[in-house]
Amino acid sequence: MTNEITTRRIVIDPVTRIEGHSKITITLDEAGEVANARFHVTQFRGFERMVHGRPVHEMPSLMARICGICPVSHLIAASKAVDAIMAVTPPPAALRLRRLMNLAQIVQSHALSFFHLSSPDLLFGFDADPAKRHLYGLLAEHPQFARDGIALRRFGQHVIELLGGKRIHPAWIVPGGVASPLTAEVRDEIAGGLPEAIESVVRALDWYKASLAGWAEEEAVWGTTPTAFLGLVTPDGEVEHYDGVLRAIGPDGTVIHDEIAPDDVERCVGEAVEPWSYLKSSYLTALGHPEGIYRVGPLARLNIADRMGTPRADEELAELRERLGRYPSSSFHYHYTRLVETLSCLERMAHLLQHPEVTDVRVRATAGINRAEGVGVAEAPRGTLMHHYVVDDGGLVQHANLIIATGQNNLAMNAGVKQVAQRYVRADRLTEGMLNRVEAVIRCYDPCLSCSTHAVGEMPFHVQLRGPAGEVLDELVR
Amino acid sequence: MAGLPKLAVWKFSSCDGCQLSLLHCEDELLPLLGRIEIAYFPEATRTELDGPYDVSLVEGSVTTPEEAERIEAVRDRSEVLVAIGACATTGGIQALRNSADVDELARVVYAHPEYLDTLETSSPISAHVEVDHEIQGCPISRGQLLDTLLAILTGRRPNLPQSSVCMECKMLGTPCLMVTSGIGCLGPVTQAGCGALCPSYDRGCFGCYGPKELPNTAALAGRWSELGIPADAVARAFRTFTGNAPAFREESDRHG
Amino acid sequence: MATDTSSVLLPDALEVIVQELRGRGWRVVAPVRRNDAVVHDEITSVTELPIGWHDVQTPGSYRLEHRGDGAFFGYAVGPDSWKRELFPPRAALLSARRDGRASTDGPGDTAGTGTDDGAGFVVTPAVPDRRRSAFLGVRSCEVAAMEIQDRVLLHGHHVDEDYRARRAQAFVIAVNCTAPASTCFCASTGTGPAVRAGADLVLTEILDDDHRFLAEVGTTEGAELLDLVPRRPAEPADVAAAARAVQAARHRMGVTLDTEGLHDLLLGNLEHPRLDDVADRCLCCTNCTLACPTCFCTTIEDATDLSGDVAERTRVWDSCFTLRYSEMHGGRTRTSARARYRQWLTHKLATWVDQFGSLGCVGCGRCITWCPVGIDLRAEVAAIRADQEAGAGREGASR
Repeated sequence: MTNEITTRRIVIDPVTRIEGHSKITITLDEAGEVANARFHVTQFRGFERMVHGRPVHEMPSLMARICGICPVSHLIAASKAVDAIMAVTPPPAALRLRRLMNLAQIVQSHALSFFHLSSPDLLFGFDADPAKRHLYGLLAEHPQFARDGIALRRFGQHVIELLGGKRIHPAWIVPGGVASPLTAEVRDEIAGGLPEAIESVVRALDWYKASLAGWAEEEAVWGTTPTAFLGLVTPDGEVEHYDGVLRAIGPDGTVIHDEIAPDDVERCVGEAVEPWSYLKSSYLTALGHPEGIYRVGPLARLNIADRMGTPRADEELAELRERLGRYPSSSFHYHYTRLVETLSCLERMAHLLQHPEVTDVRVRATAGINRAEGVGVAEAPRGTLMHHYVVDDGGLVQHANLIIATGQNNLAMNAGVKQVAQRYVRADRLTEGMLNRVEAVIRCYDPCLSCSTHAVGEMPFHVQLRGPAGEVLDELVR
Repeated sequence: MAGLPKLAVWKFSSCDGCQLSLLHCEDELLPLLGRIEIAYFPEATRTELDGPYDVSLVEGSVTTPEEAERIEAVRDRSEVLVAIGACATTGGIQALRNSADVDELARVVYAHPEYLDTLETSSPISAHVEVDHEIQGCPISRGQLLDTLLAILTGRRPNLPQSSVCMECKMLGTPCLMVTSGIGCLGPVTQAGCGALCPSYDRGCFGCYGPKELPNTAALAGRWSELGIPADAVARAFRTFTGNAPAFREESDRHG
Repeated sequence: MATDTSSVLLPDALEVIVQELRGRGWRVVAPVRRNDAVVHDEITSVTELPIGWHDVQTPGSYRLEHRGDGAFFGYAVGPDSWKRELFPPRAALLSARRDGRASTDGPGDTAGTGTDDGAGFVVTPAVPDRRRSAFLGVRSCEVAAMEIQDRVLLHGHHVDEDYRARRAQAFVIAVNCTAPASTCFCASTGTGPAVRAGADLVLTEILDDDHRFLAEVGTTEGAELLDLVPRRPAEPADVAAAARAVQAARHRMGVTLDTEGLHDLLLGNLEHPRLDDVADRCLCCTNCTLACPTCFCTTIEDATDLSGDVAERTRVWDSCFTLRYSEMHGGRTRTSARARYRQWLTHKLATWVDQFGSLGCVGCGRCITWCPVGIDLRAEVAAIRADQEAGAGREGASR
């Protein structure tokens, strides 16, 4: 409490075009230079506690309500955790169908992130008039591009709806498998939509690659802090979204963890709660805190994997690595990796649908409570997601812990916000483009604040500051 | 007409699913944009117009002092205010904490609960300001959202049913699960709108759409007991996605 | 029906009927087992019937069990009634499109002036599906229900065009009921178990030593169909066996509904305390009315498209148990469960007679089985009657 410094504060509230609400506080020192920049969220829900005493079989449908953007990810992680508590393996067809829905979820979420939320900046420029710098502006000026985004998102959502009956919070993924088998008609309908979806993402990729040279500055300053990367891979090193093993690598590709069983995720990931942060901040325990800063999500998944595992996406990955190097670090490249991953997900869906077993009618294993504890891990669009439950003999939840992508990216996001703020924000002039760039760096991570706020709430930022009237503020409390 | 009607979308404590329903109206977006100007929609744009707005869609419940103030401001600048979703109409799933000790809850979830600035309860929008239309549901139905917007634009009444999920089951031809299988279903006291999705997957209704008009929860709970469903399960069933709606909360409290 | 036109069909002959009708391009709709119940759906073969299944129905409960034989029609009525086919849950009525022209001297189908600039709109009535449908396995109570709906929807001041079209396209193969449930009471309402009229063909399933069907002709079209099917003339033993099966069914029904003086009994007890009691139990969920084969309450839904240029009007099932159904200018008249149940009960069993000349109830028991809390109108009526008679008894004694 001794080290008082005079500050001014710039608040962007709310941060727009990200999913969920948050605000950023930029603190300036006396010289008007950015002293710090923070990203925080502003709602309180409290799922981990609310589920205490509820039957564990309710977890998928309750936890899906954490988030309206990636409910499928929570359904999957929760169902996998309950599978473990029941000590069952879902039938093979059910596993394929869960994968199928997860991939559809990633496609729609990536489309939302790239086309609807981020591309207006890329197409119109970061200094463009905000009145047109949004999806509706795109529809007017870049109709084919906007339509590709809308079509891609609609396709992913439509697959979720075909499988689960509704787009948001579908009740179809259940402990032990899925609620109903896939009919040949629905299979064919999904398969029939894939070529067009693939063409949409390929068009976007071609445009993105052709435009890449124009974003050299963004590439250079948008969260280039070296970090580790974490995610799931198949045992032979392909990108994996549903099962597989955990791998963590350093910024240069050095393997930190490999072949970690998903159950052991809490062993390699620590969660720090820092006085200044609203989100829990995850770090790799092998490196400690805060040196264990790491990223998850598409950039991480592509960096840790040897290959995508699907032909067209593997070609794109090779080209990406040729352009950006083997382990791209700038968070700006979340966009590029997101597009390549979308292509791969669509290819994987086609592959899954070709398997004769996918329409098998046996899709659900049933059992009672056979273990007191279960962990479910899957890759959500934004990164690795974990649900961990402990139940009593009657199957009522006694303890729940969730590790969410946005919390894992939190340290890196804050570093990125600070870097961008230092580059663009000047005390004497505050422009829309400046604010937008600070927000845009966060959008790269596609943070899902609904998810992250399952465990955080509005904590007043204890920055005391000096306003125009001259009152002195204490920086230390923060 | 001097300019298009202005639509604003506001978010309070929620999962974003309901306001994304508007983005999910992909095919409808273009023609809709010809009839309405999306003036404030933080999920999609950072254009912020000062208002007043012809229509405000409000998602989420009120859980913080800041939100309690903000909803007043939203009401002041909105001609028609539509509360969308279970959170905005009942307090939502986060209202499960209303029956818990918030301090204790905060200690479990947060390392530094002293920084937490939250209200004791999660409450619906109508607890704070006058609401013109409520679209119930977790999440809301896209169809009901579009219909309500079109109805407001056209000057007709929205087709928002207040009747039971049973009507949707019967219209779909889904045989009643309580009758055929003796499983607990909240459909007879829950408002229609979801298309009776869960019963079509052989699962009893969870009450996502909240109470219908005149919900006879006591009679339904009595029948559940006759079917052998224990009191704690009855209490939990009424205390889920819309458990803060008075009819459901009171019935839940009667069973422990 | 006349026995001199009776003949006997073996089970395989039913398959011939199905294939003949399908060969004409007709839909054949019949009972099938789905979701733990016998419902109606289009079939491609008689093997899709719930062969060998039996339903156990009590108030608020329905379970399927194996019969242990190969009966084709060994169950009573399920949750679906033929109303779903003839008077479906949603039916398009018309669409209207702005035509941008003034409407004053327009053609006959142009009406109204929608906007200040004088633009009119064109109204296009919906065209009902012209495809013919054969209903296989229609019970006596259900044939009676069709006749009741005919009186309401065809023979009143206003004809429902969608219903008329669907009714004209329907071909009814009825089955005399030999497997009533405990919730059935068609013998009380005089609507079964034997079909008296209103069907193109009537079958009676005979399950003694050899499985066969007595077939009786109801219409010329029915006779023409039967001519195409392998059969033999009925012998007196066949006719007697069929009669025995139907007679046995009559005696197997559960609780009866005493219809004697029912009209005055109910209308004379509009404030009966039993109605408060039933209001405590009633969920106002509408299941009874939507399962009922005669209930015809609907609402009109108007929807506008995104451009605001096209409006569509749809007829949608409604129920006197919903709040909005009693809405009129100035408010709602039936806000309580008591008011809604009373409206339903007195309409079905009393004022329907004043309005349409018959009971609105055919004794199928669906409202009893499919009530999630098992409210049984027979018991409600009996309670009111018992009270009345006890009251009359007391009055008589005190006199």
